Amino acid sequence: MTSPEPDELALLAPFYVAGTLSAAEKAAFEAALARDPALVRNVESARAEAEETIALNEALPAPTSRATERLSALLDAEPPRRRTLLERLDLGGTLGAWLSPRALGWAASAALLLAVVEAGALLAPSSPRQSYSTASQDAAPVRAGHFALIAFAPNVSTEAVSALLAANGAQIVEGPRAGGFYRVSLGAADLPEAEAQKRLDALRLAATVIRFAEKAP
Amino acid sequence: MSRLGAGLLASLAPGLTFGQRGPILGLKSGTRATPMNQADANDDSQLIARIARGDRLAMQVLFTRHRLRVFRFLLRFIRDEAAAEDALAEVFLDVWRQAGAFEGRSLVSTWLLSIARFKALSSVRRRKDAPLDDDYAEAIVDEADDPEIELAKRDKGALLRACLQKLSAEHREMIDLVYYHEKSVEDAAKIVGVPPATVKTRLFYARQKLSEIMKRAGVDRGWP
Repeated sequence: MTSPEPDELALLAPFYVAGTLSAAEKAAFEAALARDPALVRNVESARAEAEETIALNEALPAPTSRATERLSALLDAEPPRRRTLLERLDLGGTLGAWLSPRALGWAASAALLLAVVEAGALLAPSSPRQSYSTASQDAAPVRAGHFALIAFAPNVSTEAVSALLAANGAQIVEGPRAGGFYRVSLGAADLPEAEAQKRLDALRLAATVIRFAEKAP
Repeated sequence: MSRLGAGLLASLAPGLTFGQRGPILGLKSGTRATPMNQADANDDSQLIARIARGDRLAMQVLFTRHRLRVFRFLLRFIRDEAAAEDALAEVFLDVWRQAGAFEGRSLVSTWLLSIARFKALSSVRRRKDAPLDDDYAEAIVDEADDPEIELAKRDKGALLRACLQKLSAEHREMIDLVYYHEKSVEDAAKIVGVPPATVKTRLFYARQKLSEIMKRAGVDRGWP
C-alpha cells in the first residue's frame, strides 16, 4: 500500500484511535504523527470522542430476559432443520473435541475424581424430566436423583473442582463426554427439588470453576 | 464466566441440544460490552457453521456474546426498549435462517450489525413516530444550547457527551460504529451500505460538526 496523503491521514485519525487500521496504514500514520502537530491534535480530539462515545453507549440499558424469551419463541416456531447424514455424523467436530488438549487433560483429571466418587454414587432409575442431552452420549445410566451436566472452566485446578463439588454435595458420576462435559449427581431422589436447584445455582455462580451447568436427566 | 472466550466452541459437545427456556448457559447478564478479538471472530465463524446445521446451543452462545452490542445499536435507532428487544430477537432469527448462506466475507459482528440496521430501519418505519433513516441525513437535531449543555459546560467530558447527542443520527451512527463497535472503514461501509470513502468523509464531517457544536457551547477543542 502506498502512503496516504496528508488529508487522508486526517480522515484516518478515528480509525487509528480505534485500532482498526491495517499494519501498513498504522505505520504510515505513526510516521506522520511524529512530525505533524495538527495530526497530534486530531488524534487527541479523536481519543476524547472515543472515550465519551463508549461512555454514552455503556450507559444504555441491556436487553431484558424478554428478548431471550422472544427469540426462543421464534426459534420454536421455526420448522425443524433437515440435516444431511454427513452433518449428523459430524466426524470432524467429534474427533476434534475428543482430542483437544483441554478434553484430554480433563479426561485424566476426571478419571481420578471418578474413581474416588464412583463407589458412593447413587443407583436408581433416572428422572423422566430432561432438559439437556448430547447427541454423542451413550445410553444414560439408570440412576435416581438429581443430576446436572457441567463443564469446567479452562485451566481450573482439580483441587478447586473437588472443593466446589464437595461444598455443594455434588459428585461426578459420568464423563468426560465429548467436549469435556461431565454428569454430576446433585443429590438422591429424596432431595427436594428446590434444594437440588439451589446446588445447581451454586455451581453456576462459581464461574471461575464451572463454565456450564444445566440440569440433566 | 464473563466472556465466552477463544476455543469455547471446540469444547462444545457436537450435537448438544438445549432446553427451550431459562437463563442462557447460566450466565449473569452483564451490561458492559467486551471488545472482540481475532479469536472471538474465529469462534463466531464456527458458531455460524454450527447454527447452519441447526445447533441451538451455538445459537445461544452467539446470542449471549453479541446481544448487548446489537441491542444498543438497535436502541440508538429505535429509541424504544421493547421495540429494540423485538428487533434484537428478529436479528438473531434471521441469523438462524441465513447462517447457511454466510460466506465469511466479513466478520460475524459486522454481519449482525448489517442485519440489525435493516431491522431498525424497518421498525422505525413501522412505528411511524420516529423519522425515517433515509431522511435523517438532513435531520440535524436542534443544536441550540439547552439546560443539559449549560450544565455540562462545567465538565469537558460531560459537555462532549452532550454535544455528541446533538449530532444527526447519521453522524452519530458513524461515530458509534467506529469508536464503540470498533469497526474498520471497510466493515462500517458494509454495515451502512456506502463506499469506504464515504465512511471516512462522513465521519470527518461528523467530527467537524461536533467541534462546531462545542465551539458554540463555548469550548474550542483545538481541532480542526
